[in-house]
Amino acid sequence: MFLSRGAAEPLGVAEGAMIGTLPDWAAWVVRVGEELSRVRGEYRVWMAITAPTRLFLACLAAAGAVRGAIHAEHQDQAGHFASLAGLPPDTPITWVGTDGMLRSGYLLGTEVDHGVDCLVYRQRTYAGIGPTTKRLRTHCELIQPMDPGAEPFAGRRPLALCPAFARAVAGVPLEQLAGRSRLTSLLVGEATTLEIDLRASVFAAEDATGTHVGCLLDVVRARRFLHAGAHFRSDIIPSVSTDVPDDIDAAHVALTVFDGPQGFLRLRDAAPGNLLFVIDRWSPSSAEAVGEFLRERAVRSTEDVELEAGPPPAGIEAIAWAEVS
Amino acid sequence: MLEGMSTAHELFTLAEVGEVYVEAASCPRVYQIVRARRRLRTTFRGEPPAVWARIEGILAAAAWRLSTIPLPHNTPAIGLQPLENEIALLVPGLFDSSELTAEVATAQEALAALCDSGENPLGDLVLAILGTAIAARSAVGLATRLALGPVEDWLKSVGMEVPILLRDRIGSAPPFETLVLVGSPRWFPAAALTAPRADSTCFVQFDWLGSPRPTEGLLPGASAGVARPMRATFSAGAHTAEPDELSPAPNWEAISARAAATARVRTSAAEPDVEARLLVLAGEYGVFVEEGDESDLMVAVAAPDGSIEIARRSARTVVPGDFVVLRSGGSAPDYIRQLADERFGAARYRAHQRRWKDALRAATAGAGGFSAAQRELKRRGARAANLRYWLRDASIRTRDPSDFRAICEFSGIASEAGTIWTAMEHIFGAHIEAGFFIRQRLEEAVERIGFGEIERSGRSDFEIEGCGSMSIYRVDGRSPATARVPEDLLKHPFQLEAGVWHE
Repeated sequence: MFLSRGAAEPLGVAEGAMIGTLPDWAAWVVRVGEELSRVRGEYRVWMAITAPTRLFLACLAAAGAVRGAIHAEHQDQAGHFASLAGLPPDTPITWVGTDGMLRSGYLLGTEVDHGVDCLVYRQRTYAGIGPTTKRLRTHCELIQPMDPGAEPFAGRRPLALCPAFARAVAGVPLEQLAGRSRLTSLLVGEATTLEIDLRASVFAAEDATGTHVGCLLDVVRARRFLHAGAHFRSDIIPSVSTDVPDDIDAAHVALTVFDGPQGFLRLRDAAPGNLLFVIDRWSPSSAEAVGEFLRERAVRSTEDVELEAGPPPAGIEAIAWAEVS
Repeated sequence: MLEGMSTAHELFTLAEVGEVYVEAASCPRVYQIVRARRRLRTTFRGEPPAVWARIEGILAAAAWRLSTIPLPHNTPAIGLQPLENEIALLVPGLFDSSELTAEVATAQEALAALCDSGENPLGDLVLAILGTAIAARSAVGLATRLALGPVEDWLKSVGMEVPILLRDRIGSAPPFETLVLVGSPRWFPAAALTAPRADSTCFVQFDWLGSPRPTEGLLPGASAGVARPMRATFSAGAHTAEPDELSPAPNWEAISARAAATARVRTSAAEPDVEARLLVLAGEYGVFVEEGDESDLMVAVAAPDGSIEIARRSARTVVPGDFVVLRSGGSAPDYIRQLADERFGAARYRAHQRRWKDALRAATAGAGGFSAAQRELKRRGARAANLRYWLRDASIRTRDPSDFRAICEFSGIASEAGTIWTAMEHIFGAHIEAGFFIRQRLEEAVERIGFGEIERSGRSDFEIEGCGSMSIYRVDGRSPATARVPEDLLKHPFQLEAGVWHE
């Protein structure tokens, strides 16, 4: 039924061992997430969509946002080396090895080796601390400080559950997606429901080596559901929260996706980035939440906005406006 | 496509191609009841004398039940006979010969005839539709919670074993081949039309309810609509009624005002008013709840594995169909506080709590009133929007310590801020422990009774060690607007006046 795939969207659905085209509704939501991740600056977009079900919608939008943000990132090699060199000794760090696996250890400092600046560090191993390693300043982009409070882990860890899937969907080297943390999107909803959608291995992508079945968690990289020390791109805020947690660094958040009315009613004022509000038309409090959404438009300074993602497909209604700062 | 994604895709496909139509049955006697009630309402314009108000309530209840329950009219579960008995006592006492009295008398005769009638026009239509469908993939949806079990039993008795869904539960059910919904489309969530859950959704209603109106989406001005055509297989006769005039629509404002007035009689004049929303509970009870971010209710939720979880949720998110846990038997509604004091040692820190409350109240008065106090607190860096809540006995401490410091400075007790904060942490911890303690016992109690039974009856009472009498109520209605009521009315279930919620 979905075996003739469009060329533009690498994410598809698993049809047994084969890949099928992502349905229109899913592909559109990914495009919306991707587009909203690029809207920055003088205004922010408020968007609401209603659908016959919320299944996968918020997570697909977050996957689009992560992918969009990664493509907009650029590496400042010299600046990155300087920031690493400025860290205090024994700062926990991670790096991606030549085998594509994530390792961790402690930064020792910098040295000049044959006239070239190097970073010096030691790996945490199962036996303790490994030998000192040097890396040239031109090869340090895959070395990253660990998130505050994280401790180095022993041995090595895979960067993703299905690396080939993650690489094919993101369209960038896996190290770029999973080798560093940068909080790009927030998902506000029921954590258990979101985890089910994120871990469902019902998607597929293909590359030269074949078809790879995977789950959205590999692209969305939600901190709450990754192992300690892994690098993340998004995070979950339970919809019962009354505020954005203090450990959320909102500086780079491009999109907050509200999966259902509860989180929107509580956190819309505090949420960073552009806002996408996903509503199941069957939800009992959907009408009230839509009322609040429309009231926000009435009290803010807004302009109409038209998305490049195009009109929504059958079954979805959407409305978007830009809040002018 | 694998499960999960295929379910989602099926629901989107149904939203695009699912057929929705309306079939109608005829029953002029029910219309006579509807017409008499309408005349009564237009005659008195919302303020009828007591006897007329009761008659209106009876007619409204009869019309609603007959239009939503697909059972033979004389089935006791519809409950027509008690209504007929009552109106038969009231009508002879009207002593006038107005057109209104004549119309009410005609309605009473119609009601008496229906009590003796084994006819089941809506049920017959339901069976005819299910007869052409795949029974294993079909379901019946009801707009009322009354007679849920009897409808299920009746369908079984005629060899039709299909699930019965309440209107609030249709959205969480799996997709069907055929879904028969009993009543006007207006009595079901609009999503039944804009996001159908079956290949074929058929509304079964009386013909005098008229043709269905076009559907609308949730987002006015949305870039793509979800409105869809709805076919009517009948032409409405001359006697049409609006679906909205039949649905239970209590006068929320009047109920709130009466409940507040009753509470004020037994409350001291100093009791402050608070902004609260009225929930209608099963069994014609009502309760006022606050909807602030820091105010919550205990709710019973059925987990996917069938077990029951007791959780705390903001009252703002509680909607009809949910189950709330409240204290009954006239005890103070704040059972967590009592338990925290008696079992988890919070009592010894309450003096500190009173200390900062009293100081804050005095400082608020001294500053020139609430708004002036808010401005002053804001100037000191506090999130002053919460001042109204902080002034309440129910609040223990602020979420942010910096807000608390600002309050203590403003209230002239800055030197005690650290000590009081530590004491409040103890109280807060005791409340958490009390909440956990009571949740466990409530889950055990609900498991003993069986959630199915509670769903069916709408209410269940039990004794909880250390807390006394507790009740679980199904929420049947939610006032669209809030009202100002005395604080001690909050979370305190009270009996509504007869007939205001006529289901």
